[in-house]
Amino acid sequence: MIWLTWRQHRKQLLYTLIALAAAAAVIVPTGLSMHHAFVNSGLAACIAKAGDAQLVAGNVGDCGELARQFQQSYNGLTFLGILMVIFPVFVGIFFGAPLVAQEIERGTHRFVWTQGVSRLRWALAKFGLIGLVALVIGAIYAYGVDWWTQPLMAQGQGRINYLSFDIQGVAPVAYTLFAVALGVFLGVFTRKVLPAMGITVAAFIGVRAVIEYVARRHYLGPVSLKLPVSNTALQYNQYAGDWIYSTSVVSAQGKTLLSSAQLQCQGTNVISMSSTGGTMAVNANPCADAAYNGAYNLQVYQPGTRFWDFQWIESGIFVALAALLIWFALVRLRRIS
Amino acid sequence: MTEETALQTAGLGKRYGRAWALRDCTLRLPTGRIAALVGPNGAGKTTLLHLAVGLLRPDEGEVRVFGRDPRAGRAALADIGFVAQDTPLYRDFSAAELIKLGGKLNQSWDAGLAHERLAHLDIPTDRSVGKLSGGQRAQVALALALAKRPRLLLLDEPIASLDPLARHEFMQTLMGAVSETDTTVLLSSHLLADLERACDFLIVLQKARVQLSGDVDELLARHRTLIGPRETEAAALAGTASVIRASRTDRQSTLLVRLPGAMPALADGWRAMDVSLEDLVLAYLSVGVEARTETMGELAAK
Repeated sequence: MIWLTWRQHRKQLLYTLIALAAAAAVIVPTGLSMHHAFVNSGLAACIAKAGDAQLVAGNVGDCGELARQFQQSYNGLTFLGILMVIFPVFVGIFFGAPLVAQEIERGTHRFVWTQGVSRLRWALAKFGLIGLVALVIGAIYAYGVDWWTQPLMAQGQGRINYLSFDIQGVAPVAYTLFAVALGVFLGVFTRKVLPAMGITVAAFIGVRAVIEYVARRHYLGPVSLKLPVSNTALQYNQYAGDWIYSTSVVSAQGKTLLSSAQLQCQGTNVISMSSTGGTMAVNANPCADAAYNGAYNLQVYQPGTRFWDFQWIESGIFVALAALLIWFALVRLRRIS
Repeated sequence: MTEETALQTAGLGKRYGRAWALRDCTLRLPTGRIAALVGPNGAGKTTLLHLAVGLLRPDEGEVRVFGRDPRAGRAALADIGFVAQDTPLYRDFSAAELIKLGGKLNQSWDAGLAHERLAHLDIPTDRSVGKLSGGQRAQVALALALAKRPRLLLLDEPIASLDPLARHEFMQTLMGAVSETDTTVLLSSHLLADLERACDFLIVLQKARVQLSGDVDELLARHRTLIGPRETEAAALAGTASVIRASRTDRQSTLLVRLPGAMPALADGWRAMDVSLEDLVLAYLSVGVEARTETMGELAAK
C-alpha cells in the first residue's frame, strides 16, 4: 500500500514541493529583511519594553513613530499573509478530493478493491499516508508563515485577532488536515473529482467562517478591565496583543455612557477622547458632566496571553471535525461498488 | 457425480433506491465450469458479479464463493479473480508496475506467469497501459487476474468493447489459461454468440431475475421444439413440463417445451426437434415472470 500510494501521488508531491519551494523563495528573503528591520530600528525593543501588561505608564509603549516607519516599508506584505490563509484548501482540493473520487471516476476502485487487500485496509492506508503527508506539509507551511509574520503581528494587532490567528501557531496544521478530510469525504459522496473540489472550497470557507466569527469568541469567557477616566498615569497598552471585544465608558452606577469610546479627564479637562460610537455631541465636554463623576473606561477582551489556549481549542475542533469526516467517509465507502 | 460448488447464491437481491437490480437469485455454479452469464443490458449481470466479488453488499439473501462470504476479508478475496467492465487499470502505470502492484496487494501472486503471458502476446510491459490498445489492455487485465491464481475467475463483459480479432484472441488466451488449471470461470455478455462455443454452463438473466441456469448439455437435452397441428396441441403437451414459448399459425403450432425427464411419445402428426442454445436463450429471455417461477420450482423439486 505504501508503494501504491507513493506511485500514485509522487507527481502531486513533487508539484507540492515545487510550490513550497517557490513560496520559500519569497518568504525567506522578505522575512529576513523584515526581522532585521524590526530589530535594528529599535521597534522590537520598544515593544518588548511595553511587555504584555494591559496597562502601561503614559510614557511607555509609545512606539508609534517607529511602527509607522516599519509599516511604510512592510505593510504591503500583509496581503501576502492573508493569501496564506487559503493555503490549506489547496492541499484539500489536490490531495483530498481526488483520493477516492478519481478511483471511482475511472473505475479503478473495482480493480484495487478486488485484490487481496480489503477495502477498509486500503482506505485506512491511503487516508493515513495522505494524512501524514498533509500533516508534514501543513507543519512546514505553519512554521514558515508563523515565523514570517511575527514582526507584522508584534507591531500590529497581535496574534490572537481575526485572520492573524489563522496563520499562527498550530491552527494552520489543523486546517490543513481538516481540508484534506473534507476533500476525501466530499469525494466519497459526490464520486466525482471536480464537484468534490468545488464543494470542498465552499465548505471549507463556510466552516472556517462560522468557527472564526461565531464560535471562537466563546471558547473562553472574556476578561474585563476597568480604568477610571480620572487616571491619567496609565493607558491601555496597544502592544499587549489582546483581542478587544469592546471598549466603553461606564458611569459609577454601571450605566454605559459612551460605547466604543475611551476617555481620560484631568479635572474637568479632556486629556484624550476617542469615540467611534457617535453618541455624543462633538463639542460636549464629558469631563465637566456630573454623570461622568467616578466614571471608568471598560475594556472587555481576550488577553493576548491566551493565544495558545485558543490555538489548542481551535485545532482540537478542526482535528475532531476531520476525524468525523473520515469516519463518515469510511462508512459511506462500504456502499460503493 | 458430486461436484464442489464455486459460487452459490440463495434468494440474493440488490436494490438501488426502490428498483431491484437483482432479485430472488438462487443458483449454483459447480467448480471447473466455464459459465456464460447472458442477458440484455440492465438485466443485472454486473450486479450479480459485483455481489460475487464482494464489491456490493446484498440487500437480501446471500452469496458464497467456495462457501465463504466474499466480503468476509482477504482470504475470501484471494480465491477470486475479477476483471471489471471496461477493464479499468491505472492508466499511467506500466504493465510491469501493475504486476508489481499485484504482488504487493496479494498474498499469493505469480508475477512470472503474468510477465510470461504478456511476453507471449508481445505486449510491452514498460509502457503505460493507457497507451496500449483496448485489446492489449484487456489482455493485461486478464494476465493480472490470472496471476492471482484464482479458483473463481469473474469477467464482466470483457470483450464487449473489443474488435472481432481482439475478441477472438482474448477468448483464446482465456480458454488456454483456464484449461491448464481447474479454475471456474463466469463471464458475462449481452451477446451469446461470443460465448456459445466456450461455455458449458449457462445462466440467463432478464429484468433482475434468473430465468434459467444449468449445465448446457442438460439444458439442451431437456428442451425440444414440437411442431404439429394446432388442434391436437393438448395431446402433444401431455407429458411435457411446460411451454416456454409458443408461436402459432392458423393450422400449425411451434412450441418450445421443457421436458420433465425423458422425451415422451409424440402425438400423431407432431415432430420434435432439438433446440439450439441460442433458441433456448431467446425463448427464456421472452418468458414472463410466472413461467420463470414455475421453472424454478421445478428445478428445486429436482
